[in-house]
Amino acid sequence: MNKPIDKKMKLNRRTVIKSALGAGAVFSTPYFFVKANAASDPKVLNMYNFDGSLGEFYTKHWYDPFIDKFDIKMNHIKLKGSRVPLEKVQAQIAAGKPETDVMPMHQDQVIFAERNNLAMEVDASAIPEFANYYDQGVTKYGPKMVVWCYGLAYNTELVKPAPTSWKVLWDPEYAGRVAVNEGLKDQTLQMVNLAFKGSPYPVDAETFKHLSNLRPSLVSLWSSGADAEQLFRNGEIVMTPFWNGRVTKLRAEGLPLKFATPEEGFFVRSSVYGIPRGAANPDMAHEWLNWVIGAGPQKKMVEYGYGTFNKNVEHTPEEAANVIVADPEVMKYAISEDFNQILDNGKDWTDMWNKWKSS
Amino acid sequence: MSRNSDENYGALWLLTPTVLLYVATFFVPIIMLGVLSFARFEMSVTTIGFYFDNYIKIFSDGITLKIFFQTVRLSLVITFWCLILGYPVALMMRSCSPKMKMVLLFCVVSPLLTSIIVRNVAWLLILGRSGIINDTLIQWGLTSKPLPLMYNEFGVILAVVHVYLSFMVLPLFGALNSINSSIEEAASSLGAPSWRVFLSITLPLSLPGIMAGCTLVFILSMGVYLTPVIMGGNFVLTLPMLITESVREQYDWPFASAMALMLLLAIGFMVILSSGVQKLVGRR
Repeated sequence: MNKPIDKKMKLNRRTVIKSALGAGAVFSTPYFFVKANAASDPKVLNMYNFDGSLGEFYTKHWYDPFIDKFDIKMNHIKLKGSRVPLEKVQAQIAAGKPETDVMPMHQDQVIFAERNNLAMEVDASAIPEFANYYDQGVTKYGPKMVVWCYGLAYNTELVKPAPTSWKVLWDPEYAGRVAVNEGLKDQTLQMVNLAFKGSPYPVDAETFKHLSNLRPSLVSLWSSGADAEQLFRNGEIVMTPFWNGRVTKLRAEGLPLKFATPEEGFFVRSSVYGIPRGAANPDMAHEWLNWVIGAGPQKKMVEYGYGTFNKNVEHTPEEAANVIVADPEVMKYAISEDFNQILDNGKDWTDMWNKWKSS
Repeated sequence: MSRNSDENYGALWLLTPTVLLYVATFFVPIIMLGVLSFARFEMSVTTIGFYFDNYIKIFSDGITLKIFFQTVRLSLVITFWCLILGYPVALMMRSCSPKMKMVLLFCVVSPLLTSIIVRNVAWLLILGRSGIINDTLIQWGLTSKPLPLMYNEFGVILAVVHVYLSFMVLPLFGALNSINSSIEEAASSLGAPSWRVFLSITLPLSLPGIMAGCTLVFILSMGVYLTPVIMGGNFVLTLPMLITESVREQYDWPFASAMALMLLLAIGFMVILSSGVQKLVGRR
């Protein structure tokens, strides 16, 4: 009596499993098909985008207008923080499928990319806008964009008089109200050296001795610009080494902040927008690079608060003050950084940094 | 072949998707980690080979091992506080009404339903310099300046315990619920005071739940990353932070792989130790 029922049950179970697997395969096939084809579709550009307000800027001023103009589609790949995960791109290139067609690289990342053959050399003839670009902004891996300065952001109501030196961070008056940057710790270390040694290098025991003196005053070692913004908004800090564009943004929110360029020197950096080796759509990537370094999109970036290498972009006095790099007098204090040294000593500096933190 | 063994094979076949998933997402990456951990990283370039550099560095650089033990210590402290705070909650859940049980269960699980960023920003509003606690203490004249309640180890422990409490309470509640209450009632009716009933019957019989909860919380705490970054202000270093830093900032996959395997081994050791203790308790 039991056998037919058992058989029937087995048959049902099998049918259910088979149906489920079949349905899964049927429904998932189009997804994988679309995904696989999207990467190599010449009408689809895969682009990294930042989180927060810079990401919104990219979408509104650098991505959407390009999409409209060239009638293409764009995949946005959201990044956490301000650095492209080059370690991930490296693994993807090794697998033959980088997820992005354009990657903004910090200058130490450019050296890493060069050593590991991660970026392709751009075809300058496909970027005629280079003619309107300052030479310093042109590299064989792509144009430099988003020129940002790293100086001292301070609360104008609580820090008086306006700081002129990095050493103000060590002022006991502001103990427990200051923070430094862990995310780009190389800049923090160079900043300490500038304050006390007059030169950004070498990073050594003396550098960490000064950092140890600062430690009781530190609220936090922030790891992203968004973290530092939050520290200002919550009133946790009154001063930190910071990027000028972020200060412009916080001022627009109504915070009483200003950006100072210390007399010992400050940092000016920009990102190289390169095309990863093996990118699915290098032609469209060249097209975008040529379009984005044009005066229109670059003017938008200046309005946002960061500088440009485009010769034709005009600055209002307020914009010139915000982007810093448009003022030759201030630029006298900009120091040049050795990115080979930063990359090659990064491991040692990190070990020293971690020892200092856990001491 | 008997019908039973036929059914067993059928059941094995059903396991195939899970096994494939584990092979693809766990065993293959582990093998890759193993291979990479013996590679060499020099001048930003990785060379695959059989070098012991990374393992030697772990034991000789004077920082990795220190941070590893720091992570173990932090995990033990978090586990301890989860147990201390979670046990009374589980006990109460066992004895209260079904409605109250649901309320308590929701309270315990609620941190898991919130995004980690939102949760940590909420802590900022409570523990920050101008947070609710510091404002209240200053207004009441109990302190003249804000207390350092976050951006230190205290802040990290508090925030992690808040989330992982549920991983302690749920196994504890399961173990306590499976205790036959008539044994406790018998002890009480024979004149044993309630503390004696707890120490002699409830606590020993709930040991499997304690072990399961402690193991789970310890393992999770060993891998905690984002909360120490946000709540510790980067001052509280854990091994996962070191691993992330090694990959993201130095691109040093080989060293990160060696550290990841070390973490995995430590967790594996903890699981073996925990199951050994459970067996020992079971025999008694």
